[in-house]
Amino acid sequence: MEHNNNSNDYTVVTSKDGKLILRVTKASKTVYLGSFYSVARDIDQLIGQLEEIKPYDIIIIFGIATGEYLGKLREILFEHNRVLIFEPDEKILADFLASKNSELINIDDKIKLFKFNVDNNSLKEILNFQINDYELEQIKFAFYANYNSVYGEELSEFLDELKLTISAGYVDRVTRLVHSKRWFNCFLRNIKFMAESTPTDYLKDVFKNKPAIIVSAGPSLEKNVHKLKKLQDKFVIITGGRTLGTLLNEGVKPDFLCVVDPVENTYTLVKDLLEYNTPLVFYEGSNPDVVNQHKGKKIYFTGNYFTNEILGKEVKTLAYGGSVAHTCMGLAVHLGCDPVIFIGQDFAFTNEKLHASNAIHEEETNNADNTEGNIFVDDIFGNKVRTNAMHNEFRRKMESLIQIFKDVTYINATEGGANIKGTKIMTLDEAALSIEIDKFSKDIEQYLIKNDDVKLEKIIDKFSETLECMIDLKKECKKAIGLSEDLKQYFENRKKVDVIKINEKLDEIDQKLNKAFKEFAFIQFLLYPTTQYVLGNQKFLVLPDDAENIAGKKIALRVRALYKGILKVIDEVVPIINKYVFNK
Amino acid sequence: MKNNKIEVLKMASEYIVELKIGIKKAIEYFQDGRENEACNLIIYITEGIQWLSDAIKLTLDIQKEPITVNIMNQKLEEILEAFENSDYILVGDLFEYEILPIIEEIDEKINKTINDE
Repeated sequence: MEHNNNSNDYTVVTSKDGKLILRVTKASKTVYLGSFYSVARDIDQLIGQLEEIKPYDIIIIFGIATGEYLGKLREILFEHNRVLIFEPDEKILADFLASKNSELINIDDKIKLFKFNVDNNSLKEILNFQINDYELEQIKFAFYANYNSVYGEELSEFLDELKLTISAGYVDRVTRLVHSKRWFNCFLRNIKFMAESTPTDYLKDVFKNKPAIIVSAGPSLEKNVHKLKKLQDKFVIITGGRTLGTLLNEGVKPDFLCVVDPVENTYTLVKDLLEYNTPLVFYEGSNPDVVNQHKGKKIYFTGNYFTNEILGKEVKTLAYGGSVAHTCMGLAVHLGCDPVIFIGQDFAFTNEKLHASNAIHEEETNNADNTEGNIFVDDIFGNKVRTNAMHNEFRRKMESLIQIFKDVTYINATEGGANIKGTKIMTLDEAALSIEIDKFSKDIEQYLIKNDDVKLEKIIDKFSETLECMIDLKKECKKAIGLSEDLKQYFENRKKVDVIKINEKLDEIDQKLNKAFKEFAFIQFLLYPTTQYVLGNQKFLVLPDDAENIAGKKIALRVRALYKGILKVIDEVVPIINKYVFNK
Repeated sequence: MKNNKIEVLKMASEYIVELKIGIKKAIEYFQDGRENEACNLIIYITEGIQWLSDAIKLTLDIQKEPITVNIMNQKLEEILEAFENSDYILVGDLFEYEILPIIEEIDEKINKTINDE
C-alpha cells in the first residue's frame, strides 16, 4: 500500500485501481475519502444512489473529492439534466479546481460546483436561484463515498437547509397558485401570446462580448441617465418598465424591455409607450395587458416546467426571482454580454428617495420618509445607507446571481446606493472609458422569429386534454371520499363493509392519480403540493403503538383529506381555465 | 503425533469456511456503513484468525508448502491503524482485498497437505 508520508492535511494518491483519491487528516485522524482499493466502487455507489435519472432531473451531490466520478456521471446525463455539487472543504475545492478533472465541469453549463459554508445563507440563495419551485419533484440527492462520516456535521446542516428550501418552495408554490388568482390569470392569458413570440433560446450569445447597461429606477439614476444618449450605440441597453419612459425622454432607445410583474402598476407605467417597438421580454406571470397591447416584437421565457409542457417546448428561463433587475441581468448574461454595467441599481433609499425623480408617474409619491425599514448597509463609499428588508433581499439575490454567473465582469456604475458584492465600482464615465468598443449593429431582426413548433391550436388542445383529465379525476375524488367514509365507519363503528375491496378500489384511484401526474406536468404542479401536505401531516401518521382501529381511522381520514384537497383545487382551477383559455 | 497435527489442519480447513463467511459479512456491513454490526463480528474474526495462526505454527513441520503468517500479521496491523483512524471503508477493503485472499491461499496449502496424506 502506498502511504504518502507528507505531513500536510490533504494528500492526493493513486488508488489501487489507478484513480486519484484524497487522504485527509481531520481532528487527528487520517482517512481516505472513499476506497483506496476501489474508487470505481465509490463511483458506482454514487451513481446507484441516484437510481434512474430522468431527463429533467436536478442532481445535487455532496462532495467533489478528486472529481473522479465526473466522467461516469456525464455519461448518464440527459441534455436537460443539471448537477449541483457542494463541497464543504475549502482546501479540497481549491485543489480540485486546480486539477485536470476540473475541466469536466467547464465543458458546459450542466455541472456547477459550489462551496458549502455551514454558517451563512449562501446555500439557500444558491438553491433558490438554481432550482425553480416547479422543479422540486425533480431533485435527486447523493453524497460521495464516506463524506457522510468524514463531513457528517456539514452534511447534516446541508440536508437541513435543503429540506427547508424544498419545503419553502412547496409553500410558495401553493400560496402563489391557489391563492394568487392574479398570477394564474396572467399565466392563462400570456401562454397564448407565446405562440406568436420568440423563445429566449434564439437569442443565446447574439451580443457575445458586447457590453450591456442595465437601467434600474433607483434614486441615483438621476446622476447619469442623461449620459446614455451618447453611449447607446456602444452598449446593449436593457430596461425594466419603470425606466422605459425615462430613457425615451432622454433620447435613448432601449434594446430590450423586461416586464415580469403581474400588478396593475406595471401596466400603468408603460401603457402610453407600448407603440414603441422595443422588443418586450415577458413570461407567463407578466402583466397580460402589457403583453397584449405591446406593438413590437415579443420574446418569452418560461418560469414553470408545466408551461414548457403545454407549449411543447423547453425554453431557457430568466426567472431568477426578486425584481425585474434580476431578469434583466439574466438576459444580459444569456445574450453573452460582457461586461454588465448597472445604473440606477441603488437597492436603498439614497437621499431618502424611493426612485429617481424622472422614473415615477404623477400619482406616485417618491419620499422614503414614511417607508418602513431601518436596515443600514454599506454603500459604495464605505458609509452607511438606509434600506429595507425587501431591497436588501433583492441585493443579496443579485450578489448570488453574480456568484453563479461568475465568468462575466460586473460594474456598478450607480454612483450611489448600497454596495453590491462582486461588482467593480466606477462612475459611468469611467466604465465607458475602460471599455474599448466601437459602435456595433443591434439588428437582431433575424433572430426575432416565432418557433413554428409552438402553435396556438396545440396549446389549446393540450389544455383540453388536461381539463378532460381533471374532470375524470374529479369523479375519482368523489368516489374516494365516499370509500374513505365507509372505511372510517368500519374502524369506528364496525360498519359492515368489505375492507379489502375498498382498499383495492382506493389503490386503483391512487394509480389513476399517479398516471395523471406522469402524463400532465400541469396537473402534477397543481395537485402535488396537496398530496405532500396531507401525506406529511402528523395527525394522519400511523404510529407503531396505534391500535388497529386507531390506525385504520387515521388512514381513512388521510384518504379523505387527500381527495377533498385535490377536489378543492380542481374546482377552483377548472372555471378559470375555461374562462381564460376557452372563453367560456 | 503427525496424525494429531493432520486433524488440527482438517479442523482449520473446516473452520476457514466459517471464517470466510464471517469476514464477507463484515465486509458487507463496512461497505454499507453499518460499522457497529461489522465491529461486533470483528471480535470473533480476530479470535478466529489468531486460532488459525496458532494452528499453522503448530503444524509447520508437516506442511507440504510452508505457510507463513507474516504478511497476514502486517495486514492486521494496517487494519488496526485504519480502525484507530475510524477509516471503516479501509478496514473493509483490507479484509476484502488482503486478508481474504491470504486466507484462501492458506486454505489451499492446508488442503494440499491434507490431500497428500
